[in-house]
Amino acid sequence: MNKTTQFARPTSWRRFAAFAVVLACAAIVDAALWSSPVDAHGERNQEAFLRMRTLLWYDVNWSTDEVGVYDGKNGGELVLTGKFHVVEDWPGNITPPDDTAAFLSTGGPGSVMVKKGSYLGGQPAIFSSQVKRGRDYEFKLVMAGHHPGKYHIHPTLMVKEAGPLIGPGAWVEIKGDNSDFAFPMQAMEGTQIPNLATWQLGTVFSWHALWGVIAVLWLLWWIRRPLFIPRMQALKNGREDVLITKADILLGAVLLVGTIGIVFAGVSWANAKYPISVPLQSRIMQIEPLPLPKQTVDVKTLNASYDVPGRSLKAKLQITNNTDKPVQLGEFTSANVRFVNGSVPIAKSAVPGDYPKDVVNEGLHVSDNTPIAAGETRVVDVDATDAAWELERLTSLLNDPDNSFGALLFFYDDDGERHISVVGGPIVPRFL
Amino acid sequence: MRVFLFALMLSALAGLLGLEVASAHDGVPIDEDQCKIKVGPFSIHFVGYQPAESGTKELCRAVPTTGNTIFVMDLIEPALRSKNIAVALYKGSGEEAADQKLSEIPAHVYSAGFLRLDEDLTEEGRYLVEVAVVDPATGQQYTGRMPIRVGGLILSTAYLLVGAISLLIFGAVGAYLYGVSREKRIGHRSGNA
Repeated sequence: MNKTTQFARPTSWRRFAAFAVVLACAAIVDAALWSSPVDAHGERNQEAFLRMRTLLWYDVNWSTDEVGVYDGKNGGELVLTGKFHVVEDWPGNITPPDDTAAFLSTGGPGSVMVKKGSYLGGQPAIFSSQVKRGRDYEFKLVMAGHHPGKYHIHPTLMVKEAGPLIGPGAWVEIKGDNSDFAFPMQAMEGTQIPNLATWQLGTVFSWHALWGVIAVLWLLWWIRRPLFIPRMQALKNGREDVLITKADILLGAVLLVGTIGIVFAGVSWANAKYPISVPLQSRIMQIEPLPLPKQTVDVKTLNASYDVPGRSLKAKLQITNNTDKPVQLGEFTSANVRFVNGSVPIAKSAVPGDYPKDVVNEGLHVSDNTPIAAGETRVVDVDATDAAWELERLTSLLNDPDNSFGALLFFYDDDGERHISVVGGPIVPRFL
Repeated sequence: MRVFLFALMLSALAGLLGLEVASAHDGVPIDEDQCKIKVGPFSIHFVGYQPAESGTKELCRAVPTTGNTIFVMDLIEPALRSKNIAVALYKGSGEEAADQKLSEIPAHVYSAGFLRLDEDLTEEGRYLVEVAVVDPATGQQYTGRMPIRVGGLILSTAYLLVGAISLLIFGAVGAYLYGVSREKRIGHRSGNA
């Protein structure tokens, strides 16, 4: 049997089958591409239970809403500060942060900003850290402009095996020209790097090109020959000996030896050029949390429900004021949405005027809004009502196998001192 | 032939799986949700519920059956929270609907960002929800409409696509199995000859 007949032309049914599969794949790809573009609020895609019961962010502040493209000296900085509470009732299907690593960063559309510095608990957050459930941490991010445009910038804690846990976002505009960008720095051994964004890019491209050319040549070597169906035919005809030729084996050997040689040469060259280097760091830091408050307001959730068409979370809470002053409930915050009690002036004034307005509302109502005296225990009905539940896609928690919510409550006394309590528990949907 | 017919039957079943009686929002973020009413320059998210029939399932233009239905409109743009908004529900569609108003909510400011309209839909057929937005400062008015169909068989585009893809895949598998079966039979007859 000669090589021509071994690789016979596919029969018509095979061609039909192949055509149908290709058409199906094209339809799938087309459907995947058939989606409307969005330019912000990707955090709404994250599951509601992740946003409500992992980290609860508060006191987040953006120092500015406008920076220039950073050129090494000018451009200004965005300083992002705030705090987050690590929820004790962490979802059971996610590795707890106490047992894994977390890294502070920002959430935004790619590297539109560059990080000049990051701090967790006042310490540089160069390494990953561990945070403990039930505690609060302070963070700070110093960012500079890279790509001009208007972007939604969030603080984010990347938790290993949990994913990015995103804080609230605000619009920041970066003005200027991208070509002006430069990020100069000095390496530890004294090398001056004029721009980290372009440093040694020629070397990077050269290595990529080398491996790319080798890969393409290897691919062309094989696809110039008959491919899958003729080879299957040859196997069926018992002619597997013609599938791999002596030339194929020789080329494979040359490639194997050559690849090892190129890697060895590359490592030798890099070590000679950069004799002093530090390995990638794998340390996990222990960060000091904020001190526990001396006085607390304890809250127990007696029951909770979500009024679906009423866009309202309703909860019966037992509140015990263990402080030495009367307090009022001023705010309920969860998943970066702030429900403020409009009847408590201190709570209203605690929201900065430039805070993103799409995540703040005055939808918090308390059945008995009078101050809770020191030492008093009171049961109240609380509802947090606003379209934000739907707009932020938080109602998707009703479809989770674990229908539970989590939130922070802010209580204020007459002197403006704030006491933070954590609340949460099972929640059921209702139609009222 | 039997293998081919079997594959064809599987394909038909796959296509039938693509039919869905009522459309839903499928947990899509509001930004990407197609169930919106365009009211001038504004967008209002529209959702229907039939608690007794389907619980928290979100409905859009297609309501599967008659009965108590709650329509909720979420005001996507914050600017809408300071405007006067009125809603009316009509039976029918087009010009004829104007004479068959079933219910309405007079203009009101919805600072909580949503409004609801409860209605007991007693007949199958077409309905129309009309939303009017008035800027109290300028008096400018915008109107938007959402046609709704109650009852009947409704095809969801997404599920039709899934059905079509399933049909193609099963068709390809069916053709392959048929071809293999045919070759075996040809080989068997040649061997016997």
